[in-house]
Amino acid sequence: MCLILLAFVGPTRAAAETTVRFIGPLADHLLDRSGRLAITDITAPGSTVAFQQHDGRRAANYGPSPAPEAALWLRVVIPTLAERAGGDWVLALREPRIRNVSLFIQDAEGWRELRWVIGRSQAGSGFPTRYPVLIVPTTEVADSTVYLRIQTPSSMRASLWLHADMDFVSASGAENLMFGVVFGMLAALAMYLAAAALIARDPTSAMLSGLVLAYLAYVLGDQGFVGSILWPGGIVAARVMSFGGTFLLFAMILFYSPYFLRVSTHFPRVAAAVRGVAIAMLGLSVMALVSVLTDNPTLRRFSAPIGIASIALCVLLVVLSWRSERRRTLVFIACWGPMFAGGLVRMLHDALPAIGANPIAVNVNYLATCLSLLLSGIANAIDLQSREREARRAAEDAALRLRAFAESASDSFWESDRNGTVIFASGPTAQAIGLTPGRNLADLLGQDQQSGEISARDQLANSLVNTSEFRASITLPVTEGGLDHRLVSFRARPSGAGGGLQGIVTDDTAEAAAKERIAQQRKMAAIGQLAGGVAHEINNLLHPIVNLSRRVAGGIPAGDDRRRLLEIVAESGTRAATIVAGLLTSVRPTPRADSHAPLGQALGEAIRSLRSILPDKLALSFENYGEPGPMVDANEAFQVLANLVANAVYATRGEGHVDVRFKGSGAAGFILTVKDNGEGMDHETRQRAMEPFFTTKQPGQGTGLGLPIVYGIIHAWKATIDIESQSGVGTRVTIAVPGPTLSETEPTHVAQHAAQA
Amino acid sequence: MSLSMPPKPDVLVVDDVEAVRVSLAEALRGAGYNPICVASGHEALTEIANRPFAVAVTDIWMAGIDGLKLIKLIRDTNRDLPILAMTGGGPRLTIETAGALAEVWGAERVFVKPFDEDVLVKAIDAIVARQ
Repeated sequence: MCLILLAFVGPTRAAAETTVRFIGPLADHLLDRSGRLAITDITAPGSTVAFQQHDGRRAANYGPSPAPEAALWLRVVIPTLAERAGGDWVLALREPRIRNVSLFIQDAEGWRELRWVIGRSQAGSGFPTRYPVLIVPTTEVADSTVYLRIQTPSSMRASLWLHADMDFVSASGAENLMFGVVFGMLAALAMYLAAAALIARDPTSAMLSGLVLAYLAYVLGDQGFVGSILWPGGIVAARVMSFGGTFLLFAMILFYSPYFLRVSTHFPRVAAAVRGVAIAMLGLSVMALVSVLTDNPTLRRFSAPIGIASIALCVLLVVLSWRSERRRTLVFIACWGPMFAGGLVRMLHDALPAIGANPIAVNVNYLATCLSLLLSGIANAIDLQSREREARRAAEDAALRLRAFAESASDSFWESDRNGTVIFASGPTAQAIGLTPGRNLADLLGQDQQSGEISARDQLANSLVNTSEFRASITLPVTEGGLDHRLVSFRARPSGAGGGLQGIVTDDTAEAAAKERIAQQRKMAAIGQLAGGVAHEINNLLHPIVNLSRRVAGGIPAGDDRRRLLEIVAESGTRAATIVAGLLTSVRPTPRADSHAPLGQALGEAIRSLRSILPDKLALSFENYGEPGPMVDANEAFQVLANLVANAVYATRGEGHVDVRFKGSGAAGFILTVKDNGEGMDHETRQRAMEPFFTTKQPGQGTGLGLPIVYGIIHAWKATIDIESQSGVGTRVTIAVPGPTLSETEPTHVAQHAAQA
Repeated sequence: MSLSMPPKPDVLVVDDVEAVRVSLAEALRGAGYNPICVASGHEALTEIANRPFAVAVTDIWMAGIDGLKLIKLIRDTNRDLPILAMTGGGPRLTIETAGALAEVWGAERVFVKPFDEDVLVKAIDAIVARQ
């Protein structure tokens, strides 16, 4: 056991104090290593025990104590005290670690002993005091020599005061109030930090909260609040809190500091090592508990070096973090600076004990540490807030990014409530088909023209009722009642608690159109083969029919009826050959080299020829703006336009509007549209529109070769055809012709295609 | 017939349709030619090996050795025999492509059935006159 007994001694205040006297400096001292000396042994005449004379500044005994029962004896000559009416004096020894004190006063009958034992109520008071307090009658002690026998198991620093009783009451009241404020603040801080740690799942807050609690426990125990005011008689608890709290405090400091300084980020090994030390320190705090309960002094011997090592470790962490975490290190120093300053002042106070008259000054280190903890709590709150702000900003950024993706994707996102009312929709597809918040999804789906076995609307109703997946692929108008349509597919899942749906809507129009085009091309290729084969057979038969009948007719005199009949045979064969040639045109048109013109010009000429043969009640308008267009065979252009206009005339029954429009540029390509306000086509008719021999016309009104011929020709132009139609509204045929540059750069493609046909 | 008269030039007609062969033979005979008609590419090659012809007229789309192949084979062995091609179309090639290929391989002209046989005869006349 290291027994350090320190009675603060210093120059008495020059000012004549009438209510409080610092009498430490007047004490001679003697260390009784065995603790067996009695007052009589000391005061007996001729006693060999020699008190060490006070030097007027301090009286102290440092060094190892031979036994736990060692006692410190003080001999004090009480100065002349002012006479106070009816008032006693109080001898106070400000050190809560003292176990017991005996004051020996000499009176007529010999030595009278006044005893103070830790945790016991004093005579005249219902409460135990935190530190030794003895009431001494003025008349008995003034100008006399008294002896004090002090016992403590641990080191101590006591300052010996003589108070007028009222003065003592107010001074200790002020001191307790100060500690009360400190405890209140620390408790509030610990609770706030614990709450923050729980809410934000923040280990730093948890560490700091633990640190504050450990410090609170330590001060409550070490300053004797537990054992006197808070728990009269709870001496063991106080010692556990004081001694165990010391190690717990170091452990918490070693847990907290690397966390705050982010040591693990920059020096993971150091952080791991410090964490190991901190865990060991936790173990020591448990050992401290055991050592208090078993009264084992071994651990106490190492407490001072362990404390110094812990503080050195913290300083090392600060030095390490200085480069990598300058700002945090500065904040750390600023937060913990007051604690170090407080400790320094306390040490100064040891050197200049006169400061100790003031309870605030005596306990300045506790106040400073409390301030440090408060500052750390504030720094932690700011840190937590800034991290939260960062996280929120990151979350907002992520949300914005997702939204930007959603806006730019062809897939649009949407959400509906349990009634099918759209509550969120984002993206161009959703916008195009009118899928907007507030819109009822069932109404939107109701615009679907297809009448499948289960309509999309029914499927939606099913999904909403059964909270099941919703999938539908349907055609919807871009604007209500308009001609432009989109083939869109909906995919959605139940959105959870609300019972609504959450999903995407994809625009499949382009994909579907491309698929349709490819299917059309394949069909045309097959038909081309068939047509070629049939044409071959028929032409081989027509050849002798035409030639032989002509030859035979040539040998019959003119006017003979048989000649006329044979000429009819030849003529019929020739007409049949024309039909076969027309059939082949749908597969591959026959170019005529002499009639080339720019497409725009060829169309203009075709319009002029068509106007002369169209019904009067039909209004044919032609708009041609932009560049003249690629060079094409004027006959082909005529065939294309004539077939489309003929279809339009048929659809309008000869009474309506047909608008032909041609525009574009070499760079962007050209667009030819033929639009009518006729009866339109239903979905099935539109699908089959380009099939050869498919016709809606009455037998004898048409061959069904119109659109396939158009298709064959524009295919050779490398153009694409698109048909949009709605029953009762009209039809729009759009032919997109690539610019001349494009067709010139890939001339071989046409030849290849022709070879495959 | 007097011996001083020039011999009738032999014209080879290749077509797998008998009616076409008959019709062409009639026209050629009427124009003073001696048509030798065969129904396949194989027979045509045998005939060409056996005797000289003034002109060969061949269909393009035939079973076995088709007209295009025949023209190519004739050109390999007999560079000078003028060839005229005929076609009524076919399942694989369009009339234009078939015609273009026939010309590439060495046919002087392509006739699309049904054509006026008098035009064919005039073309043969021109070839014979050139010879």
